[in-house]
Amino acid sequence: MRRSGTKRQVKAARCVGKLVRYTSGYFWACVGATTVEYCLVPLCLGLATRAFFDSFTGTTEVGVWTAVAFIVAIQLSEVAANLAVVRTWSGFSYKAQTLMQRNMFAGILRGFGRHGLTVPPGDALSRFREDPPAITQGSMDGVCDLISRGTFAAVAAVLMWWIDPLLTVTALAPIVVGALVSDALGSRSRAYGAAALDSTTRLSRFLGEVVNAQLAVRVAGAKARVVDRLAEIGDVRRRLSLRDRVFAETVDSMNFHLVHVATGAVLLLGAAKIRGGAFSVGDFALFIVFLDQLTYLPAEIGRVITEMKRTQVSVRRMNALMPGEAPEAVVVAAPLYLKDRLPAVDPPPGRVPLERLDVVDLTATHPGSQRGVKNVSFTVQRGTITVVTGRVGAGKTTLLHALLGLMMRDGGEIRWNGALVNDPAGFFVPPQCAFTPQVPRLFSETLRENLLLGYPADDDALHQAIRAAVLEPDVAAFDHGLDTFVGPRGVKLSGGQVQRAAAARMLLRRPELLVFDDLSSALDAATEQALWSGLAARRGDITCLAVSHSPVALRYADQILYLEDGQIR
Amino acid sequence: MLPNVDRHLVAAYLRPQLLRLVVLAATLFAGIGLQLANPQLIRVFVDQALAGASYDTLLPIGAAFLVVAMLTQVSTIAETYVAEDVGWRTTNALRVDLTDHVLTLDDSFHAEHGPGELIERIDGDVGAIAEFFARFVVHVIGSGLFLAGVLALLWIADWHVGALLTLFAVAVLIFMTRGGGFVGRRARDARQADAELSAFVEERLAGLVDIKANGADSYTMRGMHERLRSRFRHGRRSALAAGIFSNTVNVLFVAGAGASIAVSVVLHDRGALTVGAVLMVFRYTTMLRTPLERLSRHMNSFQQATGGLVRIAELFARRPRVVDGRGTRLPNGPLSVEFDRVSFRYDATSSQDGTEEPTGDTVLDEVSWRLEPGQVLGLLGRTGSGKTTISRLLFRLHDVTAGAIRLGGVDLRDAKLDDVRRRVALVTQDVQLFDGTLRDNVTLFDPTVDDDRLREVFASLNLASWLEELPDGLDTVLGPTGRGLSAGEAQLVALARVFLTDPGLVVLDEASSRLDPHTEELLEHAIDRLLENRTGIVIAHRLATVQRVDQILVLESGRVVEQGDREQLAADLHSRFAHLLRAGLGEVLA
Repeated sequence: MRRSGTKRQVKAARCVGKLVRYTSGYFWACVGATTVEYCLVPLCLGLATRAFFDSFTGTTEVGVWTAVAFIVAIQLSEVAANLAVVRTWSGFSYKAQTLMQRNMFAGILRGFGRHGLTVPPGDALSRFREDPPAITQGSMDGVCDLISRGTFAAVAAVLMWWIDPLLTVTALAPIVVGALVSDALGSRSRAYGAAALDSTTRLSRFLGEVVNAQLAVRVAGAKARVVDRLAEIGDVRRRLSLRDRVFAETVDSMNFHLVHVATGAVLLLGAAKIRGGAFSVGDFALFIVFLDQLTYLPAEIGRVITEMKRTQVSVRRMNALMPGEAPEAVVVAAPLYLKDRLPAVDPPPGRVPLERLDVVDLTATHPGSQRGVKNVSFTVQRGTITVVTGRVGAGKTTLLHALLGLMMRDGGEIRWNGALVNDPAGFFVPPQCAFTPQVPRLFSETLRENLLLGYPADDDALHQAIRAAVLEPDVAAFDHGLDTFVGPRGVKLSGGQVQRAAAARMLLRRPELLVFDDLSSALDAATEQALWSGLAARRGDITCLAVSHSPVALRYADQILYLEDGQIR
Repeated sequence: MLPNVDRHLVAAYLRPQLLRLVVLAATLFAGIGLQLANPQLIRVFVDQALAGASYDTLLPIGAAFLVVAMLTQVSTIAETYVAEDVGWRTTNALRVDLTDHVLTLDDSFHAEHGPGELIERIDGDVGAIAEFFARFVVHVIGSGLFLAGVLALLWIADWHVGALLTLFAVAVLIFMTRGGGFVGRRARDARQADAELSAFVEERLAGLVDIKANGADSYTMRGMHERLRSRFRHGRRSALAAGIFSNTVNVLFVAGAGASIAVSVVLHDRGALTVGAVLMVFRYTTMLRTPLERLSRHMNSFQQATGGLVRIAELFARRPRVVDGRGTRLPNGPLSVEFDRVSFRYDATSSQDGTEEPTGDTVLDEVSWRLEPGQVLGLLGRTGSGKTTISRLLFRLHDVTAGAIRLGGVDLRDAKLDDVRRRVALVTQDVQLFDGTLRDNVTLFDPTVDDDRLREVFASLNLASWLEELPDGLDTVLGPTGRGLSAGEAQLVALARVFLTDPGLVVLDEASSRLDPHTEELLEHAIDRLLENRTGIVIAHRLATVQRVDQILVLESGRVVEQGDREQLAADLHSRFAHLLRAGLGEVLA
């Protein structure tokens, strides 16, 4: 894991601020609606209740029925306010969540060449799913509530003070004490929370591995043991989550209990005043209504403090997926197209015909291990086939990935027609270059969409590519031809079909440079032979750089690079 | 309320928690009693205070008020603890059983449901119903009792007030049970949109190299925006539906509360209620809100949970097409293999989902062959010719459509699946490593395998030195967070897995195809050891891999086009095998 120290400090408040600004329409409307619900309504309710009881005892001019009508009207406005809250709340929270998820995904795509995927995919998915809602439903929601509850507390305190200063102090003291105590317990509660979250991540990761390895688990008869392990991890999570929850509940409960202490104190101190007439039954009812509402304030303050810290953790977790970017990259404003038309797919860059590709002293190492390639130099001439071969772990895949900018290189130069390529990840894309990895992946779309991936190729190019990739007989046999859905990760195709589809995907882009990593590993001899002879027939026209151990490939090669321990022998 | 299947599901998972549920009920009832006592104390206090009672009378009432409040909190914490505990225990059990079930289902299921979707079902849906298990049953009962208690006390205070509020409570409850359906539908849509988003991200994260290398960034972002937009819309729609529902309940409640206040005022004027009693009625009226809101909230979480429950019940209802046999034991030692006029096709209902080789309806057509114990068969043929299907049939991942497969003379359908999978081992190309130690990855979490045995296995694989180079030996953490392995190394781990199980039949599905000559040499030795005194089936696309086999079987479009002794076929100039050898001979020797 890469961490670059203190300069990457994330300020949770700034991030939340940015999200608020981004969703300002929804957010401030929600603050308004929440203020009606949590501030205006209880204030009016307190006053109306006071008038209601005082009208009994004759201490006010207001008629009983007027007071009753008020109480009903107030509660109806609360309903209206709550509907507005739901509308605006769902607006800002889903919008902010969408923004963060969009930025995270875009950031992973953008930085993939430099950093790869910095955490395992299952972990990345859990960050993607869990962290954004944790911020919107935690900090953002908390700030919104805190504004309204804080306003209420201020106004309520003034009103209570105006009715009776001594009783106000008596009533508020326990609440303040409670807030201080729960703040003191905060770090412990955070530690418990983090442990519970960790155990959740662990469970999700394991579950992800199990469903991905379902075939291996099933045929190995390891089902029972895998399931036992899952049960074990689940039980750890149960214990940690329980501890977290009960601790939080105890702190909360203490706050609520202190409000009852406050009510009791008001009852006792107020009794004498009620008899003396200085404090009416209505005043007492108002105190009860207000205290009920004030209970929420310390809990809310505590919650916002906790959530801000949690937000900081979440932002850091999300930013870890895109190292090298600004600390607040995940909350940077970006268009979301929630209502407007989706943007068109970017057209491919202009073609730069390849004359020669020079790789000079290329060095790249996998983070955390010594393996990689060291000072590799070679030249690929237009219209030739270069085959990279060598033992497992010799660095063949690393060489291709480092060249194409799919991983960071530690040194060396790449020159395209003599011109330095500074950003290989940005440069080595179609129509300059296309690449088929060792284990190509398809997506749950139609075969056609999988081949095109948004590339502007006509049917003619598509069919030529399919023919060249020896995929034609397969497509003809599919029920829906090119419009056949290939299933999640392309599972409905056999391994060889996936490889040939990936080859077609590469060929239809007619790149200047074709790069493929062990393309033939899932092909039978005849298919492989057909594929290579097809490529070789167009020698002079196309340029190939391929990793292969296959004798067929070696036979067609103009140049063979034998790698050993990351160096050309 | 709940569909029958779901009710059984809930009951089945709650039954083992009976004792905890009883404790939960007890704490809940205690809490209810304490909460009901609170307004009574207020009434007495206010009436006494207005009547001019002394401190000596008022002080105990105030103290009682505080004690009651404190006990209420204690019962709340106890209740949370037990309820959460029940929730975690039940959902853990459900998660484990679902995983178990999913791993029991055969390939026709897994071709249809990818890992992303399964995670959403097992983790997402189960998570959504955690709250349901934790609180629903007890809270509904608790809130119901609390409601009944409040109403009863209101009846005692004055029957007019009691009757009025009872009517309202009933009206609200009727509305809540009837009106929740659309909330559930919306919630279901929202969860579906969420699942699609997760599946999209999961798949693309696994295919980042493909996306980058084909310049598909902006195309992929567009797809992302599409899913995000759908989630945004459905999520909001679902939240709004829930909001409209609960607020309609609130409106009903305001009407009820208004009426109750009006009635108390009239009753006070007639002298039927004291001021303290009016305050008490007012408190109780406010308190009615909590159980009703709770019920309405649980109706919502209930609706969400129903969505999840329905999907989980659907998943549980999926029966594997492959049914466990009656338990004829496979013989010990190397197994003979016999395909007796085996035909196989994906049946009509699953033809759109289950066909990994959709080269026509019939994948295997009357295939017959026999392999003697200890012999090794080389399976040749183009992709899609049925080789993979044969290996899958051997593990009973599917059942044959016609004919029979016999291992050691036992029809596969008569043997226990566990027995089959213990006696037959598979080495595939793609080896998924678990985030765990090397030991866990080789034993697949079997703690009974001791380290000496593992070292022996590595020694047989010529991997003893490789093992020694690992920083923590068998305790080295592999997988995503630990030490990465190359594809070849991962395959060696897979071979070690197979070594351990001591099978009678080994199926090698192109195990050596992606390996370089050096590792192949290493494997050569290992595979020879593995096939010693075992039957083997090597599914190969490369002729080089076929050199060690005794028998050859050539498949074409699901039919056997040639079979026989390797050496004889190689010698017969007219055989397909000899033809294949000639075509590839130069390469084999190169």
